[in-house]
Amino acid sequence: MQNTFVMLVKRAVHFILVLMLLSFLIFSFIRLIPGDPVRLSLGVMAPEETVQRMRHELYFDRPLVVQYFHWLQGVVTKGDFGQSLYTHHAVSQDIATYLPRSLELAFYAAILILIFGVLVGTVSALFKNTWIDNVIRFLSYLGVVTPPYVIALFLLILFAYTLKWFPIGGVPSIPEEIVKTGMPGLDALLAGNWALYGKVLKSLVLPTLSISLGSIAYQARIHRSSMIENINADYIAFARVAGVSSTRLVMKHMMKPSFIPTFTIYGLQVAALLGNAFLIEVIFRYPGFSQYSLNVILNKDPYSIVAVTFVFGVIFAVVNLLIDLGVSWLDPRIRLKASE
Amino acid sequence: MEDKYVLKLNNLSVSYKVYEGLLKVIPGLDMTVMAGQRVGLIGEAGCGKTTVLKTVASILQCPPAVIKYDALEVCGKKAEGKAGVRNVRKTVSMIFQDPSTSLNPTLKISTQMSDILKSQFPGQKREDYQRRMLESLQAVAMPAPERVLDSYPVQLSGGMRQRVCIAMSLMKDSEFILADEPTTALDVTIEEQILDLLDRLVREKNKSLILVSHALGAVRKITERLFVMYAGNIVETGPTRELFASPRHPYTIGLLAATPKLTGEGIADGIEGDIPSYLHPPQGCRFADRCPRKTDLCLEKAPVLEPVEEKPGWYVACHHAEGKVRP
Amino acid sequence: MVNTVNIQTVKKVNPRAEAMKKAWYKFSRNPLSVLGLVVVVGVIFVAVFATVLAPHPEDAGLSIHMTETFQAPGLAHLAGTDEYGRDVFSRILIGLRYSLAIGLLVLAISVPFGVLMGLLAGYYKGRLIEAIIMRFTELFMSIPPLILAMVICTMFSSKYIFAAIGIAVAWWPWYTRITYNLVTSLSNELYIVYTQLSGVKMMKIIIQEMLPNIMSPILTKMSLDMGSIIITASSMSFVGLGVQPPTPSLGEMISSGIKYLPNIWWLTIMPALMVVLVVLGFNLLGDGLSDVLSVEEK
Repeated sequence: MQNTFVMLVKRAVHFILVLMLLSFLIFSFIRLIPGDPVRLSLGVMAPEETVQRMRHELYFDRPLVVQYFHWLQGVVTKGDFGQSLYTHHAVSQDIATYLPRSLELAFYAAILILIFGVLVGTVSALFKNTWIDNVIRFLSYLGVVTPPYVIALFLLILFAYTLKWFPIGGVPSIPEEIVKTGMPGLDALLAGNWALYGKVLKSLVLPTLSISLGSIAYQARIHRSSMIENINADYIAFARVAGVSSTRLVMKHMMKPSFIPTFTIYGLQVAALLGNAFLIEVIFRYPGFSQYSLNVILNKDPYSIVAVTFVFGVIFAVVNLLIDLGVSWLDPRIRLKASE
Repeated sequence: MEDKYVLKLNNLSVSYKVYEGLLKVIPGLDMTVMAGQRVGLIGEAGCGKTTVLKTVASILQCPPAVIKYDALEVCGKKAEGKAGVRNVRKTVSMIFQDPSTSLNPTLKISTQMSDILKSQFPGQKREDYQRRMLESLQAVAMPAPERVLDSYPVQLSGGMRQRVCIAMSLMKDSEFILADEPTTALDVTIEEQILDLLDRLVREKNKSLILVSHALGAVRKITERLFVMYAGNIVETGPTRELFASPRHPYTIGLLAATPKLTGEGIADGIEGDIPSYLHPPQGCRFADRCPRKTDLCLEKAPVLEPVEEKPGWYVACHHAEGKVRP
Repeated sequence: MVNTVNIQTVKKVNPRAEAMKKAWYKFSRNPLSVLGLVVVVGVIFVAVFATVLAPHPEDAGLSIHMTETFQAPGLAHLAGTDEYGRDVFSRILIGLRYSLAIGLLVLAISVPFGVLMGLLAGYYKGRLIEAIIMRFTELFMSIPPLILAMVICTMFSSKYIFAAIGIAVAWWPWYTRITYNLVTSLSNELYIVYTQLSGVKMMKIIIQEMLPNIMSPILTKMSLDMGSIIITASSMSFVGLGVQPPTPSLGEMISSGIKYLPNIWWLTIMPALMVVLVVLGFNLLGDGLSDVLSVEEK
């Protein structure tokens, strides 16, 4: 237990250093690029005086290091990530608005990936080299090589335009007074508004499928191969002759060791979900964090870009930490070694 | 009792498909074991002993292995069709070579043991399962069985793991135990303990046993009947003690001479050469290349098992073995 | 038991040629790998001769045929025509050329750089230089590649050369990581240890012993990555980063076609199918290679 704690602290320190380096790097990039982001934001028509005042307010007239530490101070003391030149809000406020929407989307996708990835992979492994396995492998191959935005287009044409089962985009607006978490579905649930929750879910079905199908396919492939590796393991043969029933053998003796690589890949897939959601949010006009990131990047909005990469860095680090904890929980070899 | 077989295996052939072609490992093998009999199977590494045991236990991975036999009958169950194979698997227990790979690294010993009990004797109380697990660990002379139950395999030593494996393989009511070099992966000091333990348990419960081992002394002590394998063939079989005393096949003679004697007759003589290629096995006797008695006949015609004079149950597959009944 | 049987080959031949023959045999036995090879070769051929093969090469630019707008796929126009009456099939072929070019460009930048960094980190193991390289690798790997590539690209210019540089900046760490891991694991191999003990310089060992050993996993990864890079590049051109209109690119064609859905479906679906085909080809080829060279993806 103590070792886990030491590990956590070590990781946290390491991670904070990486984040600082990352944000400093992005800052330098922004200062290096030709063109003035403030002038770009205010437009060519804005008087020089206003631009200068804004540059001063945003520390763009100070040396890079001064600007960086001013920004860092704001982040550490007030959670203030600076001002967006694109939305003209505080960046932290923008994140609070957009991030929860994407997190809800990613949450549903993460559940689908886990359940169906493992399920399909298991079925495929158990029916190895039969027609069931071949069909699954063909489909999962197709899923892996098809970019998410192409999947989105096909789903859009089939289920939204042709069959009209789901809306072609957007998300139902959530009344101001019930917004608590910023996640549209969760807010509707917390307010007890089931009809609204149903509507939100309906609008989320196609985007969720678009970002998860490829990952489900990949996950299924990984799980299949690690299951197959275990089917041939000595300890499975031994447990089988020793008299363990097939159900227990598959569901426990094969599943647990196979789950270790599966879980590692799963973590990486979940970490990548928000990054994959870019074009999906654009195509389905879902006002989430990925779409926001895209807009601030395309508009060269300096403070927001730093914040956006920062958020992605945090998500990546947290997910990696969770993977390590999960793997050490699943694999006694690692756990017991760590406690020695 | 006497005429009851636990194993009847007729004309087994096993080959493996590889890039270079077909490895004809076992060309045609017969083996019978009577109920309550303890049988030894010896031969050098790579001669197909494990393949035979895994076939009998019906756990040989099918592709790339191609397995064919005229008949396989274990404890009265015929291995015909998928259901038959499953029935056979139910009647045998097998102990593997390497205890470090035969236990599931991610599950506690208690889970692995209780899953056998829950599958074999469903519907009993938790405490009953717990009691039986402790009993079976005590039966293999395991120190601190409670602590072992609560451990993962990685926390146990090699000898303890093999004890756990033996305990696990004795948990179900099988009459027939297959032990595949149960001590090869262990320390020499533990070897004797484990083999003695196995011997005692098999005798106590009156089970039948096939023991594959390189510890020839132990094989001699434990078993009543011996099969000697070379390159996928049984070259000699007979009562253990007599066979040890006067082996007839040149390979058996070489193999037994290869064990270092405690009496200190110097370094043992090995047999020159290697097992022939399974890819292009010789058309005659597979041992001919290394045999001191080789003649032209050996290169042309593969010998078959023929009875040895006045020795019931003793067969040898050699054109030039002494005391063979001439047809 | 059976695994330990020595397999004696009958004839003794040049081991390298024999290995190649064996690899090719294994590769050709798998119809999917062969299909991948055929698709990749075909796609490269089409891309190289795009201007010759395209029925209307002039449609790659700003040509307008007002009488032929929005024609459905048919014999006259295999993939239909767009809002300016341009032949979509011709535009796909020419767009394909840019997709492949960007993929090759990214690999040409990121692979040598990444491998070099990995070798340096492996060579200077335990020193400051290793720590610096590996921290930077972690840093770049912690941001989704698409974001990093877009940030870099927008900061400089949205021209396609900068799109390639942006993707390359996001891509090199993977090659550093794989090279570093291979060098580290090889360093523990007995024969490397013995060579080192015999007084051979580490640099020489890396170049003579290790580099040939890591070529096959890197080659496999390159083939698999080509697909991912093409997807990333097409995602960027989807939002206007990379090849600039009127020059066609697959991503831009798809995104500008979305507003005509669902009736004018061919403007999006046709280029999308081409993306899938190209990525499929490179993946099948990469999987085939990894089977043959028996590389385990870590």
